[in-house]
Amino acid sequence: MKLIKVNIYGFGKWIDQQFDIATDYQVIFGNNEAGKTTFLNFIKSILFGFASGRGNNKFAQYRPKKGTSYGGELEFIDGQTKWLVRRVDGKGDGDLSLFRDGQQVPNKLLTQITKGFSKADFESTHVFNDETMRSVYQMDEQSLETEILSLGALGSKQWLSVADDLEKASGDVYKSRGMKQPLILSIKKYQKLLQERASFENQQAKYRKFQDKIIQNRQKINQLENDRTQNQVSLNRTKILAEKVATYQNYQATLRDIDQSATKISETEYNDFVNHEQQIEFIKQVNAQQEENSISVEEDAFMKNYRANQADIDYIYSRRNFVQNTIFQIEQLQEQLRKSDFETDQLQQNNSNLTEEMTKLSVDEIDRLQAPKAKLNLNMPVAVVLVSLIIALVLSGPIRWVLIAMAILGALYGGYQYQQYRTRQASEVDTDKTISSQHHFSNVTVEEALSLQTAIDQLAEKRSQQNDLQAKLDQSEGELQKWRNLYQKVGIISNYDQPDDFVAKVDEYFNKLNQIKGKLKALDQHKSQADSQSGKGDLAKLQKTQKEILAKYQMDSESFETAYRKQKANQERLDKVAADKKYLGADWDVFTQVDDLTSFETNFKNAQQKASQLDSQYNDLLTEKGYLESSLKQVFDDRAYQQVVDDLTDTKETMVEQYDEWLTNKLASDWIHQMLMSASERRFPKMIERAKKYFETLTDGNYSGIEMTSEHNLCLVSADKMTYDVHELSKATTVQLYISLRMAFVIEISDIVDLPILIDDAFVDFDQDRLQKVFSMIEQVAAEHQIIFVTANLNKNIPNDHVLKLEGEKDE
Amino acid sequence: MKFIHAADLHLDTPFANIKNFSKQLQNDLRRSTYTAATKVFDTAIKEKVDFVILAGDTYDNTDRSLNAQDFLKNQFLHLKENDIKVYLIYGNHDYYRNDFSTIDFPENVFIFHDQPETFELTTHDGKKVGLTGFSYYQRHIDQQVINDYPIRGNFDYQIGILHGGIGDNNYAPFTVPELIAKGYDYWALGHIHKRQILNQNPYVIYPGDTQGRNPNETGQKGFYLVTVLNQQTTLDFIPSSSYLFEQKRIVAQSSDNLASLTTEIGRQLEVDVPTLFTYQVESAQVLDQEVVAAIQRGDLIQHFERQQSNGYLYQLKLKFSQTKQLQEIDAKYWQDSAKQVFDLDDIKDLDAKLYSIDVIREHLNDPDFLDEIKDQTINLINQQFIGDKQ
Repeated sequence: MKLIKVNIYGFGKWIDQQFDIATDYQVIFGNNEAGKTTFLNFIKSILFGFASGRGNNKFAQYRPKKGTSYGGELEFIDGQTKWLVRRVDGKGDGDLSLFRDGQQVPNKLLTQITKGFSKADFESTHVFNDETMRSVYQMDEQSLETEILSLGALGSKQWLSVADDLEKASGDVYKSRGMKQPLILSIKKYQKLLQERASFENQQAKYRKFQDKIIQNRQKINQLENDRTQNQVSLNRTKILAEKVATYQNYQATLRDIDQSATKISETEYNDFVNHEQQIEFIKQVNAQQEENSISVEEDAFMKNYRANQADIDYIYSRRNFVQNTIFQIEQLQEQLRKSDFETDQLQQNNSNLTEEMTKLSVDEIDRLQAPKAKLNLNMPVAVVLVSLIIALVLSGPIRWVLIAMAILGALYGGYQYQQYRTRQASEVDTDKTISSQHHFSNVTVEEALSLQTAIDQLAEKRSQQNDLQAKLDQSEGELQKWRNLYQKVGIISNYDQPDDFVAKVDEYFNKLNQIKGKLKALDQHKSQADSQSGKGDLAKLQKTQKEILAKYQMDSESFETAYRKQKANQERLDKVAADKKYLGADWDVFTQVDDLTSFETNFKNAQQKASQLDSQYNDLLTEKGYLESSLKQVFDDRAYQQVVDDLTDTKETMVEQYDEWLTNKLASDWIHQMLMSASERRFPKMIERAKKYFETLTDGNYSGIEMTSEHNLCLVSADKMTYDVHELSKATTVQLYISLRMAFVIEISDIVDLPILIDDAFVDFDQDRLQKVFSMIEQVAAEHQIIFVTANLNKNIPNDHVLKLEGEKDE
Repeated sequence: MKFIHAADLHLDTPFANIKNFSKQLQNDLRRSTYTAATKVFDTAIKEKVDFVILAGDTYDNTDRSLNAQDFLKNQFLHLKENDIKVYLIYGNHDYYRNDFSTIDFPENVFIFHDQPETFELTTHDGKKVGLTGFSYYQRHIDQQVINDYPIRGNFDYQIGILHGGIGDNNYAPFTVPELIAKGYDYWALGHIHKRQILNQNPYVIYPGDTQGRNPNETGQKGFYLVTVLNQQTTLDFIPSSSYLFEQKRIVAQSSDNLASLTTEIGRQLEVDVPTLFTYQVESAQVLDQEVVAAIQRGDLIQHFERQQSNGYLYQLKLKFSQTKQLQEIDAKYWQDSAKQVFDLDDIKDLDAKLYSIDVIREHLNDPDFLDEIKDQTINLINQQFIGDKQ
């Protein structure tokens, strides 16, 4: 595949330019900035697409400044076939059209030219520029040797760089002696989590442990429940015995007190004895009373008087309350009268002019006394006389006479008025005097008389009240006098007794009467009793029987009584002993067999103590049971463990991911190295044949051979047949070796991809001598492969038909 | 006759990477193995089955399984009230150890010992059924215990219960023909979490686990309700997952950005059944580097943590395709060298310290490990080559 024509529509500084390209090698000469690099970039852009407008690539777009069309055409020849590649402005990397022998063909057939190479691929194999050279110079010997040894593979330079990156990335994830790399940290975390997990007590064992404890606890509880039941029986028993022990002690004490030897007194005889004693006593009493109840002479006379006046006296008795009331009434009336007198005195003191004779005025009389008195009014007649006389003095003629006449008439009228007044006044005085004397008001003025009207009324009322009270009093006193006479008559009171004592006297009289009556009645009774009793004979008989009884027991009456009481007490003890024994029941035997009775209380206390011990143990076991059951539940609580397990799961996952990352980086790097070696190993034998010719040319015959050692290393043979390892070469020689191998490699792979080699002033630092050798090598290479070489240093030996001189226009 | 064949209940399975989900969802996920188990037992009662077979790995972890034991005891009591028996074997996860089974199960539960033995029962329809099986008493069993299973006995129907893997030397290895040769009517297998019918007539079945437990256990999980009528065995799969795991792929377009990806994934998360999705965004190399960086930082995951829908974004992976023709051209060298690079023994030897850690050792010993790590490595190399590396 040879490039034969370049047709630029517009690219960078190039506008509408056509170039024919020599099929073996084409040297393009131009000064700096004449557009040489642009020219090479045009070829790459048409083949592989325009650079995208993004970022730093913008430079590489080479869009023409002026509004001309962007892009152009390349024409290739491949044997008989002509290919035209046209690329113009368009989306992405430009609009491509492809023509084979003038016929447009699908764009994908471009791969028949590029073999699918990308621009980068192409640049890494077919393009040599000053940067390529610089990088080779800058490499250390080791790297350069590696690079050279890898030259048998496509893009070895980039691959090595990628391998370095990968190796470094791998080291970022893990280093065997590292401390902080992520995988190291994950491993540490993993190991820590494993320890943490191991620190969890075995769940099953824990469960079993608690389960066993729960079973033990249950057994203990059952045992203790039995113990408690048994102890409760014992507690009840000892409690009963402890309670009964007091009874037993009483029983024993009572038993000791019983006098078994005492004389037995017959119950009947004792009862007879007591009975007789009572009868004797009674008879003695009756006799004594008979002597006390005799009636005196005075009492006898009293009774006779009573019987003589019995009707009156009983009447007095029945009416004594009436008499009492009458006395009370009299006192009341006297009191009221006293009060009324006092009020009358008060009234008279308050009205000093008031006399008993004054009587009340009637309404008419009051009106008359209060009526207005006659009055004299002479103002008008006097005024007429004075005015008439004054005017008459001033005037004259008939009017003066008229006026004088009027004065005279006025004086006459005045005289008449005065006469009338005097008459009326006299009549009024007479009337007043008459009224005053009628009602005894002569000594007081009319005003005083009027003001006394109310007091007169009150006085009159008091007087009437007093009269009334006096009348009632007189009547009651008359009544009382009649009773006094009756009382005196029957002898209840004497002359000297005051009325207040009357009723008391009546009561006194009747007390005495009843007393005497009682005596009389008692006398009657005794008389009949004494009649019914056998009297003194009986007494003797009774006394004899008593003596007989006492004699029988050889006791006096007192000791007989004592003996009987003792006997009675003994009996009570016997009863109690029997009751106690009954209460003690079967336990009586128990008590009889034990010497120390306090042991029962001790036993009871012990049983109580044991019961409380058992209770406390039981509670402890219940507490333990609760604890164990909740502990068992907690055994199931897996949250903390689950957290660790979850963390472990994640950590494992992370470790595997990180391991994979570490490993893939490492393996990728290894793989690249292996691949490069493998490729070089295969390609080098063929490449070396060509390379050693180029190397010889470039070194001017100093090195005549390149050989592959059995260890897959290169060794170089000098003209004097000395062999050198790559790293023994000088830097300049190594670069020459590098160029030789790369050229050989491109030819080696030209069966795969056959595109022109582009050299962009790569040897700018070479002196003329060495540059000459480069040209010689280029001619050698061009025999097999098309080379396009842009340079600013033209060698005169190059034929003109292979040189394209660019205009000296300034590149931008 | 009816019975349920369930396996791998894995009660108490912990779920990784759920800490950013809502507390509710976290709890539901943690409970999900129990929810699924409850579904098994509820179905047994509802369908009036004669018995339930639990073919191993009922517990995920026997170190601390009291709650699970308590749960099972209650469930089993409930089954007992309904006259349903339980036949249970222990698997490699819950292999029997002294001290492990603390809570006693009721007498309707039959647990197999470490040697194959046969329990008999008569079903409600009068069929005499034999159930043959054994329990793990250690984590790994390399013997072919199948050889110790008796040949078919005098039963109307015989069931073999076996927890193990075909040709898996760690887990009582067997082959399907070996099972069939015993002449049983049904093989109730456990251990493999993916539902599989290995043979029909007689049925040889892995019901799978009852609840997906990680992103690799995708789809609806459940158990089999088996009906035997007139010597004909019919199967009903009963789903029991309360949450599904699913894996989805979307192919990135160069025009995609965070917003468009969010919209697309958001649309796909609108599902009826609660599902945890693992997304793989393919052709991620076409995405803008800033978008890639944002996704790798977890922006999308975080966005969906706050969304309310039945679908949850559980993981999001970017898959980078090869962009360099270089790789293709040198493909054979890549392949040649891969053999050297992806050598399990060499990888194990890479770092003795790492290999000493059980988690990493187990990871390395996973049968899929090497393939997965190779995929990841390729993905990484592809990703590294994005951009303009000179």
